[in-house]
Amino acid sequence: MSTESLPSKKLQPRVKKEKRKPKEELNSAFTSETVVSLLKGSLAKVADQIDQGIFPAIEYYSASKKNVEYAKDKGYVSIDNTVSAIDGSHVTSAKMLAMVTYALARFREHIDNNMSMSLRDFYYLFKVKEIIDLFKIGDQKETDSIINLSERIVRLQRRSVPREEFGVVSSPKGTFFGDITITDSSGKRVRCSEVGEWGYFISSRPFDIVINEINIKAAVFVEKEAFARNLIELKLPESLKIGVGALFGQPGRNMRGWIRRLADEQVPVLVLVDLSPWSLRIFSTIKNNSIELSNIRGLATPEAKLIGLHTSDFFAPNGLLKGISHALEDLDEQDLKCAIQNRNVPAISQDEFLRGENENIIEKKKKGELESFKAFGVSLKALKKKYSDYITQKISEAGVKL
Amino acid sequence: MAVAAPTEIITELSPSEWFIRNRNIAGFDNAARALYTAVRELIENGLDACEASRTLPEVIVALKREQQDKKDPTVYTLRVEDHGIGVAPDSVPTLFGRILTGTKMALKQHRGHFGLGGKMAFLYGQVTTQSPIKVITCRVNSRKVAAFSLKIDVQKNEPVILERKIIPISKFLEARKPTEPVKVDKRKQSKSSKKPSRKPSKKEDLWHGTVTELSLMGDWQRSKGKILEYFKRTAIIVPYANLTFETPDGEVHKYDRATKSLPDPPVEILPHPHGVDTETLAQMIKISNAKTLKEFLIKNFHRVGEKTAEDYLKFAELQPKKNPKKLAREEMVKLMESMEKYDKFLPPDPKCLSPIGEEILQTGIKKELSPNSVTAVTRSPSVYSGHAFVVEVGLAYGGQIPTGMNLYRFSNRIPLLYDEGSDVTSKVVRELDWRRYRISNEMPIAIFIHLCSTKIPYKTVGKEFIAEVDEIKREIDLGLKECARRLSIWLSKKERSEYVAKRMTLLKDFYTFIASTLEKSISRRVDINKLFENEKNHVAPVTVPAADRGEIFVNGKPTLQKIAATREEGKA
Repeated sequence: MSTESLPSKKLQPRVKKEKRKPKEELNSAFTSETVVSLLKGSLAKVADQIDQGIFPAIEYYSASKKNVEYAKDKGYVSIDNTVSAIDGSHVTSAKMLAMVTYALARFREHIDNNMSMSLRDFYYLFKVKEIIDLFKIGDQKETDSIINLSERIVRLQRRSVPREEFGVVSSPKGTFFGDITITDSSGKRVRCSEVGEWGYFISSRPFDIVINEINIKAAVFVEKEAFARNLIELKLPESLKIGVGALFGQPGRNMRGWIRRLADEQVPVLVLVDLSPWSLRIFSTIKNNSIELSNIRGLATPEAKLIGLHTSDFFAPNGLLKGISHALEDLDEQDLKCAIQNRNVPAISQDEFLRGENENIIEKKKKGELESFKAFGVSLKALKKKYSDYITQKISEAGVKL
Repeated sequence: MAVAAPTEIITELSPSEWFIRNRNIAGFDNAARALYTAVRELIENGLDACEASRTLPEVIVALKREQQDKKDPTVYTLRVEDHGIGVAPDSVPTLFGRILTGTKMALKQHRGHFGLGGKMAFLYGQVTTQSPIKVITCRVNSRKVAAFSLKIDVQKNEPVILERKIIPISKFLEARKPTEPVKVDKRKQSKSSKKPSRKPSKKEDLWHGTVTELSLMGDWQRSKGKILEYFKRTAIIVPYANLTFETPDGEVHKYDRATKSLPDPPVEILPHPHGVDTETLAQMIKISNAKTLKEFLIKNFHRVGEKTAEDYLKFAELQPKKNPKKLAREEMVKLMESMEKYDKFLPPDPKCLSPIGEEILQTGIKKELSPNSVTAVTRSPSVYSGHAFVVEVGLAYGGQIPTGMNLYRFSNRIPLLYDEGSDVTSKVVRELDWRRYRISNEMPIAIFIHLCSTKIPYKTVGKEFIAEVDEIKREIDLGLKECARRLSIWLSKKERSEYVAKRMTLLKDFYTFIASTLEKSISRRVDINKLFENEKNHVAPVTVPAADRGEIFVNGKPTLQKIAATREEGKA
C-alpha cells in the first residue's frame, strides 16, 4: 500500500479529492479476498498438523505486559515480544481450538455471503443444537474472547486482522455533527451537519468511510450526549466552525476509529469529559487505545487533547467553573478505587497532565459532571453564554485558533 | 399404741437366680434378642475353644424350629459344634452347669470374661422351655466321647446331671454320619487327610471338639437380620474360621475361611498395678503366700521387679519388709491410693493382646465385602487405667458396601451390633473432618474398628458398646486418620484415572467436531484417529521462529517449544 503524504501546513478548511485511497495505517488494508485466504490458511494449518498425527497447536501474541508497550506519541502498541500458544493436547485448549476453528469457518462464510454479525449473533452461533452440548457456553464473554483470540491468530504482515473484517461489528455507538461531507460503505454521500438531530451516526466500519470535504477547524468529542446536544442546540458548531461528537460514555471501536480518521485529516481532536477517574480513562482510551486492543491499529489518537473538565476549572482562583464548585460530588468507594488503580495505568501515570489530574481528584475527593453547568442557576440566556465562553476559551487554550 | 414392725424376709439369691431375674442386662430381654445373644455367645465360646488349641476355627451352627407350624415366638433348638480342644468329661458339669465358672478368668485377651454369656443362654433355655442341655465333647487325640444331658439347679447354682454316657468315638461318628451330612467340612477333611479311603491309624485324631445343644424360646423372624449380620461380621474379623449356619428356613450359609494364618495367641499376664481395685487387692493379699510387701508386689503384679517394688514402696512410704497380711486398714488404703498415683510402673506388656493384624483384617474385609480399595492399620499397643489395648482400624471403599458411612465395630474379635450411636467409635467417626480427606457421606465407605484389650470398657454386661475412654478414643482417631489418609491417596488416583478417561472422550469429541468443521469449510478431510494412537508421541512444530525472543513464557504458560519439551518428558 502506498501512503499519501499529507500537507503539514496550517490547518484550513479543505476540499478533499473524491475517493481517497485509504492509508496503510488504517484497517482497510485488508481486502475480503485477503481475509478469506488468511482464514483458509489458519484452518489449513490446523488440518496439516492433524494430518501429521500431531495435536495441533496455534500460536498468538497475548495482551500481556511483555507484549504491550506504552509510548507517549503512539499510545499502547503491541511489540510481539513473547508468544503464547493454544496446545490442542489439553482438554481446555482443545475446546478453545475447536471454538476458534468453528469461528474462522463461520467468519469465512459470512464474508463469502457479505453478511455482518454482532457479538451477540456470534454468541448464538454456539447455540446451534448440534454443538450446544459440546461447548456448553456459559455466557457471551466466552464467545467474545474467541473473537479477540481470532484477531490475534489471523495476522498479515505482523498485524492483527480486526474483527470487522470477519464481519463481526459492534452496534454503532456515537454521533458526529459538523460540516464534513463523507461517503460511507452504503455509498451515500452525507454531510454530517445535515443529517439527524445529532448529526451522523458513526458507521461500524469507520475505516471504509471516504471523507470528501472538511469545513471544520476542530472536532470536540463530548462524553455525555446531553451536553453535546446542548452545544448543537446553541448552534456552536456553526458559529465556531467546529464538529461536535457525542461519545455516549466509553467510546466504541467505531468512534475511536472515526476520531483517528479525523486526526489523520489534520483536524484537531479535543475531548470534553466529566471530572472523574473514570473519565480520565475514557480520554486515555481515545488518546492511547487500550492494552487489550493494542494489536488493533487505527484506534489511538495521540494528538487528542483533553479540554475539560479540569480540576483547575473548579479549584483554581480564576477557574471558569468555580461558581459551581459547590455542586461537586464526593468520590464514592468505587471512584476512589478506580483513581488509585489509575496510578498503575501506564497511559495515565506516565502522562504528566493526566497523572496530575488523577492526583488532584484523589486529594480533593470530588468529582464533577458536565451536567453541573445547570447548577450555575442563572437565566438561560446567561447560561448559553457560559457554555459558549467555556468551550471557546478551552479550545483556544488547546492552541486551536477559531 | 405400739405397732409391731413387719417382719422383713431376707432372701439370698444364688448367682444363677440373680441372672435369671436380671436377664435383660445380659441381652436376654425378649425372645428375638435372646435368640441372637444365645447364638452369639455359643459361637464365641466355640471360636475361643478352637483358638485356645491353635487350630483353625470350625464352627457349625444349626437353628431349628421344634414345631414347624408354630409362629414366632416359639421354641427353637440351637446346636453349636466346634472343633476345639474339647472338654475333659469331669469338667463338663461345672463348666456348663454353674454360673461364673470358666477358663477365661486369667488376664489376657478373651472374647468373654466371666463364664457368664454361654451359661446365661443355657439358663434362659432352661427357664423358657424346661428342657435340659446336651453336651457332647471329645478331647484332642481321645478315643472316647462324653455325652451329657444336664440342667442347672438355679437355687443352688449347681449342675444336675440327667444322663452321662461315654461312647467310643467310632460309634459316635457312625451315629452322626447319616443324619448330619451337611455338618462335616468336606474341604477340611480332604485337605487334612490325603487319602480319605485309608483306614485311620490308632493315633490319628478322628474328631475332637464340643457340641452343645439347647432348646430355647426365640423369635427368628425378628432376629434373623441381626443374626445373619453377626455371622457376616464375624467372618470379617475371624477370616481364618470356617463358619456354617443352617437357618430355621432351611438355608445353609457358609462363610469359608480366606486365610490360614492365625493371629499370635495372647500370653497370660499378672494384673497391672494400675488395673486393680481395693477389693481385688485385698483378695490378692489374702490368697498370697508372700512374706513381705516387696515379695507380694513382685510375685503378684505385672512387670514389677525388685527395683520397681522398692521405688514404689518408698513412694508409698511403706516398709518393704512388712507382712502384707498384717497391713492396717489405713495402710491398705495408702497402698491402694499410692498405687493409683505412682506413675513409674512399666506399661503392660502387649503380649497379653492378640490383634488380628493388618493383613488378616484386610483379608476379612475383602472376603465379605469385595471392596475396590481397602486399607488397615494396627496401632501400637497403648494403656488405659493399667489395661493394655490395641486399636485396629480398617477402611474400605466400594464393592458391596452400600453408600454412606458404614461402621463395623469389633472388640476382642466380637462384632458389636447394638447401641452403635452410644459407642466411642461412632463419636470418633462423627467428629472426624472427613472433607480433609475428600471422603464424603455419599461414598460407599466401610469403617472397621477393632479394639483388643485385657479389659474392654463396655458400658453394659450385654457387651454392646464401648465407653468413651480418652486413651482409646485417641488411638481410634489416629488409626482412622491414617487409614483416611491412605484412602484419600487412592481416591485421588482413582479420580485421576477417571479424569484421564473423561479427557480422552472430550478430546475425541472436540477433534471430531474440528474435523467436520475443516471438511465443511475448506474441504479438507483429516484423520483424527492418528492423534489418539499414541498421544504422547506427538509434538507440534514451531510455526513462529521464537529463538531470538529469549525466554518463551507468557503468564507461566508454555509455548510450543515448551509444549514439545513437556510432551517429550511425558513420553520418557
